[in-house]
Amino acid sequence: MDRIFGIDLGTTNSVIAYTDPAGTTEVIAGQDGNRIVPSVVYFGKDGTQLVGTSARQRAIIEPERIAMLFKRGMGEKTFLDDEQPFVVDAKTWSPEELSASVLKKLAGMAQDRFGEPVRKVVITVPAYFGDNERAATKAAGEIAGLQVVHIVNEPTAAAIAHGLDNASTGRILVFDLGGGTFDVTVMEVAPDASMKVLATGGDRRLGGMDFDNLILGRMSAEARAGGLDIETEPWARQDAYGKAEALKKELSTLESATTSLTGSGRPLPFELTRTQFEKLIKDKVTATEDTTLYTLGTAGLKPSDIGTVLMVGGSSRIPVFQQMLERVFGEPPVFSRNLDEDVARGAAMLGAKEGSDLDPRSVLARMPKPVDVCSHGLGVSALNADRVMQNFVIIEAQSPVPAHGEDSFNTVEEGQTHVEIKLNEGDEEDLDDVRQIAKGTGRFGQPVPQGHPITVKIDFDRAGMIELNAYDGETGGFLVKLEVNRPGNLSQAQVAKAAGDFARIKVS
Amino acid sequence: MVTTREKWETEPSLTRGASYEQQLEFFGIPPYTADALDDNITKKRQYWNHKSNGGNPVGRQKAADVLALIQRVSQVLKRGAAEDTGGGAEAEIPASVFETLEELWQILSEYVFADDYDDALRVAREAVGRWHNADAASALAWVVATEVNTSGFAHPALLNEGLEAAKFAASQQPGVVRNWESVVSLLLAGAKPAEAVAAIDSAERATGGQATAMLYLLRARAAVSLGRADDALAAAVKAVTRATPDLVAAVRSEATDTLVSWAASMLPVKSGAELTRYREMIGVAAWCSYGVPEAEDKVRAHRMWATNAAKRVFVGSTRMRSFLAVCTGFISLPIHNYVRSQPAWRVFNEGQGKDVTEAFYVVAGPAYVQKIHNLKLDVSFERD
Repeated sequence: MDRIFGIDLGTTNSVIAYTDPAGTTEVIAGQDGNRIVPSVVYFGKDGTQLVGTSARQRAIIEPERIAMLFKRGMGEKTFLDDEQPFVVDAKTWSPEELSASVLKKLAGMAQDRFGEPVRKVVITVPAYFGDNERAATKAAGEIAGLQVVHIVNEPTAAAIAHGLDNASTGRILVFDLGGGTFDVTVMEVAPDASMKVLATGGDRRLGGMDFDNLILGRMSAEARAGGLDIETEPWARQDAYGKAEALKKELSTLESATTSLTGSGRPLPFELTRTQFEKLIKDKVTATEDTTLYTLGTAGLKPSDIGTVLMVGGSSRIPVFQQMLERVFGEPPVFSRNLDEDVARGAAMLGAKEGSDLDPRSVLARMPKPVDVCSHGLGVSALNADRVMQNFVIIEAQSPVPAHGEDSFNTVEEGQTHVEIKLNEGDEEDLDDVRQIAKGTGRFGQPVPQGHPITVKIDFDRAGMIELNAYDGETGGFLVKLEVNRPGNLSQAQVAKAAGDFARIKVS
Repeated sequence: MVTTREKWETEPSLTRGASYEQQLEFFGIPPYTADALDDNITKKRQYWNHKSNGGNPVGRQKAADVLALIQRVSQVLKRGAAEDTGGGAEAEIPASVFETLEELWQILSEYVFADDYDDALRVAREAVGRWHNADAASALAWVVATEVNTSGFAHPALLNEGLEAAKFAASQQPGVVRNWESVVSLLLAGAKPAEAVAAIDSAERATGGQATAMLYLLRARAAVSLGRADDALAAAVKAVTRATPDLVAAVRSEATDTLVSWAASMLPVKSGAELTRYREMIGVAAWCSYGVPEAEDKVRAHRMWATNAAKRVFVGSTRMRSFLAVCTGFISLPIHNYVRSQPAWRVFNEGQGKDVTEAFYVVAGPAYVQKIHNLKLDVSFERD
């Protein structure tokens, strides 16, 4: 029986863990003793790759051969802000392939620990990830030669790890502020440790790296005023970025922190107080508060309905977020046992549950599988009564998974022979607010009169797979089944080719 | 779960220069009372923050723009005049760090450059309180005018405070153009375009005819407010020709904005005369935008409509046309085409009902037409 490992594939750091049949979870360390692996890939000139701390250390020396923060681009062609592809030695690397490098490194650590190759994994993703990003994460696993048994939401994994440690029950709000993404999840934990997600929300583009960039902006302005250029040279910028991140971390415990900027061949001292830092990120704090309260509202709840606020993710260490939560909920938040490792631990626990050799007497074995919700609505484009095209939601966001929905529509024109169906992800009516994830054409076989009925059915399963089928509403005849079209992702053929190429690359 | 939203929550836009009452309406006051302002700002911000996290980049950008607007308007509403205490951000540097006028301007410039108007106002007010002279008044008026011009909105109390300071400064230092620019900006922000034009005339006399590009831009805006199209066009052209090299791109962009906004408000055009006026506006706007990519982008779709709106579109039955053409050996075709066709702008106006015609789709189908008329069209299927 293959072991199933849990992986937290993070924007800035990644972790792998394993839960044994007795229900004991171990976070696996690499040969350097570190259990947290920076999600950074360095491309050696000999074709090998370095992942983690050693890769990060080369960021200043050879910044053009370093990829980091690529999780932000999952499901897209690129992760770079300028929307250019990431190219090293004339080869373009997609976010999936870069993530595969990190996964391969983690799998190697586990192999060293257990002496056998890693085959099966559970990978976590932000709860607010859409279909594209989830599919891309799964593809990253396949490229790394891993079978992705399950994709799990990070807050759910964290809550499982925390719940089993602390036996908390009642309504829990998980505030997960990581390096690149922000999630908020409201869940109900029953005395038998069963978990039901009530609502989830978040921001795919808010995390610690945004705070680093804001500090970097201030550094650049001060450097300019001091006659120093830290923007032109990539190494100087990379150096400043690393220092910005270090300052941010120091300001979680200190009232002020100092560093030295380097550029144009001379140093310049830079000081940042906690007050200044909090002013810099004020809008981001407000955004997390707004998202938290909005998500709570979608579950029909008020702050006073929440028993425990659980903080997860490295950026939760920043005091101003803790203060914000205490102000909103009237109680100080609690922290998971280890902010950086609990997501992987929870994923490993779920992995153990997916396997069949868990000791039936263990608490974990007795815990029912958590019930998750769709983080986004699913609907189709159609004309409304005012003849304006809009998204008609068929499965609402926050519906328990697995979910099924159906709705009826009519043809618009006399003698219509076919109908074009567009599947959208998002819970808004305005088509500008939703993402079209599939489209297809259904044919009636003969012209039908205006107002001819069409039935659309959508299913969303536990694995996050979406299926849309359309039928002739009069005859019941099948019209079309939509395959989800993911233009930003690698195709199956590209994944297979990348997996073949990848097997030959040495990652350490 | 579908939550029913109130109309004011989902309202994405507020016209630049909107009155204080309209700013309050943007946050649902009325029907809510003024003490609901904070709650309503939060409610609206939460809704648009949620939309800014969607999966479609177009919607995300739109939501981000609305969030920026919400922030600007809420700051203006909360900022108020000197006696108000709300809305002030925590100061980063001590208040009394300026001793000379030069130092004062340096500090104000830094705050304004950083978009920190709370601190800029605090320092400018301190200067007025300390010096009681035209220099300090000029600085305060400049801060208020810059804030109003940047945000596009003003709190009446702050507007009055700035206008009083600007008028005082202009009366004491009539040769300083900046003081007149502040006076005119604030009069326009207070919806007093006629007084603004009079102030520009005074400025020209006081400065010996040395009106700046900025004053001409303001004159164009005043003319738009007064409905004087010819004056607006002439002032916009003068603003561009008077702009110094370092300001020419900004002036071109502003002049384009002013004219395109007015032209957009004329849509959909309802007569041939309106179309002529629209085409003139867009023609001048296009000239103003020359060489400034973002300004050219703003005017592009309007240029295409200005070019195509007068073209005739066949509105009759195509079957009948074919029948007549065959029967008459195609002799009748040109006449039939002419008789059964209408200018595109008319087809567009008449086609927006329940019974949309094929001709309407021909006219309204292109993306640029839908964009400037704020339309979304498609045919596939409709809700049962």
